Amino acid sequence: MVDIEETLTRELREVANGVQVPAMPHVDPRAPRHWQPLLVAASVALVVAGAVGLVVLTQDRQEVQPAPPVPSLTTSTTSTTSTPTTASPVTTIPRSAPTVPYVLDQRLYVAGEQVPGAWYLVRGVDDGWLALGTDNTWWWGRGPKRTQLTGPHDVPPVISSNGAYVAEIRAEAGKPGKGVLTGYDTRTGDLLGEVPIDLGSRQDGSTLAIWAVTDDGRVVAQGSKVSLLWLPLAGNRTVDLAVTAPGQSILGSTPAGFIAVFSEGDLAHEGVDGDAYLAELSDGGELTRIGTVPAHDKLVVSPGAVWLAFAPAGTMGGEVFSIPTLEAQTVDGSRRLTLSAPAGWAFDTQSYLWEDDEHLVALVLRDGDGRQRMARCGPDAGRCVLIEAG
Amino acid sequence: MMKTVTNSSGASTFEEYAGSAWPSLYRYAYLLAGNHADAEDIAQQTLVKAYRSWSRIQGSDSPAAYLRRMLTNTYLSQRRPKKRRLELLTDEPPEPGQPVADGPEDRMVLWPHVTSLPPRQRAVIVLRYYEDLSEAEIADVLRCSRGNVKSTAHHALRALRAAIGSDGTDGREN
Repeated sequence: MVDIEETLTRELREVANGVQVPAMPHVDPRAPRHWQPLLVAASVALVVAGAVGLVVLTQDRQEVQPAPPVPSLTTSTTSTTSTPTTASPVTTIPRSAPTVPYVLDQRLYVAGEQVPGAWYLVRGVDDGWLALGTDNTWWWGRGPKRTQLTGPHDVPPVISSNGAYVAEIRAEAGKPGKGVLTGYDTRTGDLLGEVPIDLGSRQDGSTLAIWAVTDDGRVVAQGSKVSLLWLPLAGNRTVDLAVTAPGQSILGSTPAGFIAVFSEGDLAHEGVDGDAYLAELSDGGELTRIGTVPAHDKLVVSPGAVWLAFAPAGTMGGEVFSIPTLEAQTVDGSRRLTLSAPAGWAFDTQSYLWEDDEHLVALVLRDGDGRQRMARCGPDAGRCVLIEAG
Repeated sequence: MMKTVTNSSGASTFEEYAGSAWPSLYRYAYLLAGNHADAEDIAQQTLVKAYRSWSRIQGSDSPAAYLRRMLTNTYLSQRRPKKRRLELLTDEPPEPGQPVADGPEDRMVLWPHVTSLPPRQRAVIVLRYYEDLSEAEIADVLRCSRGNVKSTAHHALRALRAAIGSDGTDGREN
């Protein structure tokens, strides 16, 4: 018989101890991480510049260059007290299609395939996405496979940033003001659970919304009369955030944490003029400030919580559908820069997303005629380029 | 060449710290990734992120724990399509007919199945049984609830037990 825990402990240590650790690679935080070190067969030695080295290839196949000699991360006699703040003008930006789902000209593309139908928007990743059709139906999917959320949806469904979980609120037939908060695991299609919830009333402005679905399956729904943390994977419990975190509005869940704002008196999610901050939310409902975020109208965080991209507060009001620039900032605040849309184009106000920790992909609209293209921005490069898509 | 980072307190530079942490960082990355190419990529990405956040890491209670969290998140956020992943360039194809010797890893009971677990389950298993972290510490690394760690570990152990057959039913996972 196998004792699983003992065997795991022993085998993981044996594997780790047996690993041949390579020399620490050269690390240049300003360089694009477009390349992957290539395995070189043991029998093949590639001599580059007088040294045995690894050959690297850019992902967009634009450059082939030798890796720098290793180890090269040595102590320098030159010291600096800050991280680099200038962008490298030679940094390349891949022009290949986005690696996250996107909608272009009302066509939805996931994992390189077009999903049938006409679409307004999509959220999530290839392995778990949520999209709104032009017929106002909501669908979630995994790859090109899709499943309709049956609704009706006065309250838009929300997906976690890793695409693993979707939450929706359904009205209960014959019970005005009453609904059910429910969720799905997009990897299995399984129902996470459900809890009854007071939908509020449009007449008195007390309607409810889902504000956050976390990567570990927790859901926050708030309105002026309801402030709820739902834990479907932890006993289907609910926590009253009005008690545990009074006056705090959750604006979203990101890889860097929750974005929250204190709103005096009533809960207020209209705009983020207040002091928005990053927070952790315990299963008991306690909200703990862990950092700050800039005042914004829309903010997105890269998957590894390295970069933020945002439209500053006040830039997206009224009939504004596109903006010429976005701001990018590291989560720790050490670097910030302005990203301009490619010349002649402007960013759609609702459709930008980090595809990894180096690149932001965005829908851009052409000045004058509203024609659509996709663009990719690289903060390290300090610019955005039009890319192949569709 | 990367610039040296120092602070006014005279604490170790990033290079010094990275140099000492690299072996353990790499081993942890290998257990998560299951192969050298991805392990090196993940560990290198983590170093780059650590360099950018060095002042924050230095000020933390445990730089090692900070790096472990960064590496775990880097691993879990990997979602590149296969076409963008590792490519092999050689001048010659591998010689045919050469028998491949079994290494110690090939003779292990559970490790081959650990590498088949979904990423989050694998991370929980490695953090629990290699890094020897408690549920609360794993929850901190993964930024999730203890209940989520518990359920993820349960699913992972159940999958491992199923993978090795009925002999594993007596495993003491609870």
